[in-house]
Amino acid sequence: MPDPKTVVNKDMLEANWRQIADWLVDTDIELAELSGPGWQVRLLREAGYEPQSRNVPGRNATWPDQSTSGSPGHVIVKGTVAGVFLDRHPLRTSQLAPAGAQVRQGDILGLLQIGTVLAPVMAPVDGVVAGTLVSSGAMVGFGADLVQINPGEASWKST
Amino acid sequence: MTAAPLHPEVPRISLLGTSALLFEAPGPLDIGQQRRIWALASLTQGWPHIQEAVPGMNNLMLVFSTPPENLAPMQAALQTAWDDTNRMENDGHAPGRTVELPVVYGGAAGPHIADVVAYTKLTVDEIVRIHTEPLYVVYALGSHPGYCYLGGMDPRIATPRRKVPVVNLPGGSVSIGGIQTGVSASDGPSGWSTIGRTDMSFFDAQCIPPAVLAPGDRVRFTVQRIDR
Amino acid sequence: MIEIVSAGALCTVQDFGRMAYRRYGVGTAGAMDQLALAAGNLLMGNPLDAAGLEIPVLPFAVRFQDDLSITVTGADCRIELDGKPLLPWWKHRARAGQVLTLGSDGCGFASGARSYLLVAGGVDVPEVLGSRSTQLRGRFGGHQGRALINGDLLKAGVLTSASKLSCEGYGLVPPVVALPASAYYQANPTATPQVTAVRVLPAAEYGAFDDVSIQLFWQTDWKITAQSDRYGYRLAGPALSMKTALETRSHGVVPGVIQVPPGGPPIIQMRDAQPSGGYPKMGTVIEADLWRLAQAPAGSRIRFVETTYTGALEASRCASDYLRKVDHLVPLFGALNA
Repeated sequence: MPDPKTVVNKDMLEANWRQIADWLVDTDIELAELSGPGWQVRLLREAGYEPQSRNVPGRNATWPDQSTSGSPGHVIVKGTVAGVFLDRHPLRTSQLAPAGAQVRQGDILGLLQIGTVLAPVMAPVDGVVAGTLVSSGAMVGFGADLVQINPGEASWKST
Repeated sequence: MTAAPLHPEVPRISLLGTSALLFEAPGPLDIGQQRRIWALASLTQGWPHIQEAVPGMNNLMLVFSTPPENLAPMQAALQTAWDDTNRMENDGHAPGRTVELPVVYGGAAGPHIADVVAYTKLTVDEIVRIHTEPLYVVYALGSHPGYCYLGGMDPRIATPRRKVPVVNLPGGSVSIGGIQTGVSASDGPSGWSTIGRTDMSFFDAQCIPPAVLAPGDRVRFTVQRIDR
Repeated sequence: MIEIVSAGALCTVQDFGRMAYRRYGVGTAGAMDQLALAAGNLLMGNPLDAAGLEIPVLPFAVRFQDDLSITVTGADCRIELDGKPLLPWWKHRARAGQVLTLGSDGCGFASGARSYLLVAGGVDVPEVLGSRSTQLRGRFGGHQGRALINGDLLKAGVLTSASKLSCEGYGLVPPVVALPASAYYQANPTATPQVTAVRVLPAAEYGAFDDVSIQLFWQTDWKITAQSDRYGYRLAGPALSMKTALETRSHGVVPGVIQVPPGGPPIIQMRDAQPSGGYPKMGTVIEADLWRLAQAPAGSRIRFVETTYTGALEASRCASDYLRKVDHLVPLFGALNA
């Protein structure tokens, strides 16, 4: 473990996050959150997640949401409430945001069920769905990472 | 097969799901029992859990606003109230008015009069004479808006309800179903045998009460003509 | 205003129905699936029993002449607003000039038998005898006492303070998912899920049917024939016989009463049935399962399951609890999204 007196800053984390995640895997820590001025890192233990693309920085590590100015990388869509994540409407069989789907800002990518109400998980940017990060039916906490989008110009063809 | 009349010997209370209770008075169909039913309806209309008291032919349906958790107290209260109606001086029911209804019997106006002839073995003229003789009492309304169930029909012209109901009978149809007779107030399906037609209007949804006739009123059918 | 662009047969304005005029021969009418109507109204911030449109035949299309919050509950189908797909049981914002279509893909209902369109403020038609429901037999109530046709214009009512404050973009878990599945399926794991199980309380003439008929009544998967509608569901199946003929007197009936005319198969009285009748009754479908019956389409099968009065009340409580939870959560979400 690094010396606890080492200053934890964003640059240090960027250089060492993969190592930090590996260390945490062997502990019983479920969630580690670190933040500073203008940045936040959350490392959440989750079983069964498979990275959808090479650009994913590793298990559940997230960076602050990308702006829509076209910077490279990906965007993780977080839940706005705690609830049960659903990748499709209970009455329907088709997924709301299958991998590869082109989406526009505001499109519904998934649902969070809280009791008898369903809240939307909405795309914050235009882009292509890389995949969902939790299983449909999983109970998730506030701010959980739910869906990954690769942002960019959607070559949108109106139907 | 002749219908052997099997009526309850004691009042019977049964459920219509969780929506309503049905109270059936004992004995043969009778105006004395019907007056008691009217009184029972007045008594029960204001009871807790009761949305509406709906008289039928010697019976009363009590529709629940919310069903009671326990039925026994209501059943007991109903029995007591029924017994009380026997002791009442009058049924609290103002004497009704008498209305005359001119009827065209037979022909296109009475498409099933042949069925009544076949079942009763009476002629059309005899059936019409027997049908127009009594002063009928309006026992209850039901079936459709403004429709009156009339009591007092001579059982000689009773004809069983049709096995397959007719899909669309015109308003004003004068019909026989079992031992009852009535006049439809609008077009619609019916399981009764139609013997004639009248032009009177029985219902106006903009009025309170919306029905022209009320339980206790009396109706006399008159012969406008008989079509063959 | 809401303009009917294309309506199939028997699309009517309904609320909960008329509750105080059965004694004048006026049947209740009202929505076949009251749960869908009520839940949709709560989502709109309307009173529970505001009027909506009952849509039993697809395709269906309306144009909104003004901005309006809307939802489509009941049976799911292809729902689109200006061609954009919408979620069912969801609060959407329709803009002036937009066209809502149901079933434009020609595929009918995904499951279930009728959808409901609810709008913020409710459908504003004149109240007749205490209700906005359409009384088809008497030709009054609803929109001019009849089914809707192309070109009809309907008004949306005044918004309540609840509907004014809340925003769109959230929805409800439908009762078919939220309410417990009938114990019948748990007790009969080999039963076909496509058969709708509805709970029944025996009625007065139950004991007058012979033993074979009683057994057939409970053990048959009765088919809902194409001659079924708001008046009644005519069933196909084995003949049922009575031990002796009964003198049947006209008496009040309610939706759910299962009549057995002599020589005929059973008919379940539905919302537009006569408020009274004289055929012998085998039983009554409990109030809590009427919405399941309403969502069983013609051609599908139903199974009657015997229950007790207490069991039936418990089922009604489950449905009320669902609406209570919706009523509690919806305002919170409306405020969240604002």
